[in-house]
Amino acid sequence: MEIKRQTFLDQALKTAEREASRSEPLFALLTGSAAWGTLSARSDIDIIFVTDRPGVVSYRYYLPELTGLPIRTEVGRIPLAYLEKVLASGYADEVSTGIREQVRNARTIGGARERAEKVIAAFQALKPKKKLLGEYLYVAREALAGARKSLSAGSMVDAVLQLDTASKNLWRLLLVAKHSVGVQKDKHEIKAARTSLGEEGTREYLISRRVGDVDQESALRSLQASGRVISAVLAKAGVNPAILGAVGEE
Amino acid sequence: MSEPGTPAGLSDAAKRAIELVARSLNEETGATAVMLSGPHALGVDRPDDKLYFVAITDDPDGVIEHRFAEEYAGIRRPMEIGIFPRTFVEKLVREGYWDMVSLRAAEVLRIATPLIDPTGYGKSSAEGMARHLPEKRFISGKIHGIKATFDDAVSLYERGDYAGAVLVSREALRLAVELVLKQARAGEGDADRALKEALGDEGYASLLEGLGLAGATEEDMKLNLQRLTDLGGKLLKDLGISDDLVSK
Repeated sequence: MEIKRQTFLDQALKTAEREASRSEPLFALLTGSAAWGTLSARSDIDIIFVTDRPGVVSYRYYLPELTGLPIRTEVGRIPLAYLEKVLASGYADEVSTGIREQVRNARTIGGARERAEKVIAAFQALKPKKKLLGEYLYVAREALAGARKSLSAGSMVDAVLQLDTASKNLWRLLLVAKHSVGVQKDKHEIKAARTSLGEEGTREYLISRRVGDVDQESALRSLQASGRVISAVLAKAGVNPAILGAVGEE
Repeated sequence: MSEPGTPAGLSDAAKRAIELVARSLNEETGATAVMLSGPHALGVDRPDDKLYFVAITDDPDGVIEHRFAEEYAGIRRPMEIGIFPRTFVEKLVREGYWDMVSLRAAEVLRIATPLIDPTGYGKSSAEGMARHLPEKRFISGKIHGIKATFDDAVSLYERGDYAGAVLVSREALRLAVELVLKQARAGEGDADRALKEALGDEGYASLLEGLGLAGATEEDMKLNLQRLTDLGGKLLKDLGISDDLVSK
């Protein structure tokens, strides 16, 4: 299905206007795939209003089922003071980590443009905390020990999950220590590896992460198998697996 | 019918904080009902747990609000507050959840206990959710993690990043496996048996395929472990850190 970027931008601007009538932000940012990435049927619109009022971080959700808008839209309101605090002290919890990723990949869609660009640039330049090194090393070491134990017990799945955890943390350790690249989400890890490690390093990375050369067909098979397992896990937890959505649809 | 109020089993300090937040939230939003949710609504009172609240409003726009606060109403403690319009609550009670946002809201509402509820609307909404979520529990955060990670994998696939898609879908599988093992209360070394039991033969075969383990032998795994130990040693040496830290 062809997804038109202009449709997303039009709805984003309309929603931002509607939200601004409640309270004007210092500046408004568009983040996520609607800002720069490739759009898909699963894409939604993520807007951030940076405000000069102290207070809480909040998100307002416009769901198509309730608001009549065609694309699911999320509008975050984040006090500038909160962003400054994240910049000064690094990021620690789930909320600030998510916000950091959103802001560094944002584009300005309204308000004080120059100020907005400065904030985006400051987030892009934010270096990961060095204390992460010890954490990565600790997790990798524990996971390798766990893998040895699981293998002795004949627990193959557990062993491979521990091995994957070990390799993930070893590579993140290297990315932080040698390239000053902090990775918070798995989807960003492979991109960071390709950008930082060079051709040979990326190859070594892919092999040790057990993905090597993957073509479209084998990736689809792998995703479909994962989808079946996750659906079964959701059903077992009493959750309707339909919330997962289908894989490989055009 | 029980009167609105904090659940039994909470400390006096927690009760006072909850009552203060509820009153402020009611004044600020003009809510029809203010309810307590999360672990505290289930009578669990751990000092590090966040406080969770729900306010149901008459907002006609149908927009849901989710707040993250470090401090509210003079109470310095991490909390999350959901502000749900009645239209949303009514649809949830009538039809159940349909996506991740509505699932999380449904779960929050299912376990919520009224703090301020003059009309009884909050209580009846929470009771109405029992049809869609029979069990009272608070696990949708974990399900959200699995779903969001799997969505990332599908997006990478759609963008033609096949290696990335496989790598990230395996992380989603790892999170799903964690949930199964937690629910099965599987002990150390017991994971494979617990997973086979939980997923059945076909599900277990899909798990092996998704993890890239179909056809793998114990020898392959040992080789993999050795390779990774060597790689870890090499990476650490590169960083000037003793490789003993991974080899022993």
